Amino acid sequence: MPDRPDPDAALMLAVQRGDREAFTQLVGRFQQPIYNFILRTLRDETEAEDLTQVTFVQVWKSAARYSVKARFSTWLYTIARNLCLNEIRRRSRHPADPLDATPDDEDRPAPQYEDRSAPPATDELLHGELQTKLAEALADLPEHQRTAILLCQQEELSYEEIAAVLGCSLSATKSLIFRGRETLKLRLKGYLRTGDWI
Amino acid sequence: MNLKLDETQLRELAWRRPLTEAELARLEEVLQVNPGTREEWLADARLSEALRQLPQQPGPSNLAARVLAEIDRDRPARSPSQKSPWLLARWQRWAGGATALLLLSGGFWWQQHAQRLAAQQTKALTTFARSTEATQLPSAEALENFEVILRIHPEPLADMELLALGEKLAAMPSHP
Repeated sequence: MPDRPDPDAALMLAVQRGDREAFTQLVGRFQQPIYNFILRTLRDETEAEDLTQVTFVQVWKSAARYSVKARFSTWLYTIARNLCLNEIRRRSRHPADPLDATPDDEDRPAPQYEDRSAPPATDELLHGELQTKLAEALADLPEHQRTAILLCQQEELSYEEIAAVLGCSLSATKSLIFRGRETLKLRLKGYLRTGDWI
Repeated sequence: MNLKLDETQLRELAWRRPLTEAELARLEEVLQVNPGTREEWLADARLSEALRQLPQQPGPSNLAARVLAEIDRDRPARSPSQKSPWLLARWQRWAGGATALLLLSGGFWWQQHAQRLAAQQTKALTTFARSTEATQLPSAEALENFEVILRIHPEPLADMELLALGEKLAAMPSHP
């Protein structure tokens, strides 16, 4: 049993009895984090939308198998991750041309050169660039490390629950997060300027 | 106090949320003992903040209604497949009944066959026993020279004339 009370478990028990209102509440509560989790994993908005929908359809269909032994969010993220893994496997079996493939030379925009006379880039611009680079670096991480780091950002999940979603031990989970973060820090070295504590 | 343990705990907390004032104060104590890790800690804190500030997309609109519609759409589509287990169950019942009937009739036939066989064997044994009881075998001494006796000239034929004469004499009235 989870050591913290889980209001979502009560909703899920209602869903088990076929309560559509409880189900709507659960979807409303988790659709954004699940969509963003899938989007950061697959980097495709259409597929992320589809898989988010499939995740919740799966929740409804598998409601009878849900046990209050685990937090609802742990169960939900496990379903979402498994669907992502299936999609990643499907992609590796049927590789298609990536949507963001390098354009042909004639389509390529003219190179941009730094205008040294212009004022220095603002923090806002740097921040925007950092976000883009971070999203890219995250996408390039091995799936285990990326999932561990993304789930680590979900405050409602404890390290034990992240380990349950990943299907590995607590120490292995922390090691995955540490190694993933080390890779990110290395790739974003220029952007992670030192300064005051945030 | 174990500084290494403190540092590990603080690091794991900082991965998840901004540290509180008390936790930052504790971290400062740790960093005063080990100032070489300050830069690393700052980079870690910046990374955590950047991860927290990653833009969150709003997600698909009207998802709950779409999911429920998908579930409802799936239901009639699944009715035939829901029928198939029922059909399967009916077929299984039929197959089970037929198998049971086959087993019962097979068992009955086997029982009858076994009884017939036993009766035949009993009859054959009885006949054999009777035949062995009916003719007594000659003694072992007689059988010892069986081959020799067999080769001896067959016994002389009966004197038929003498026998006829004897019969005639017997038929004649007796003399006083």
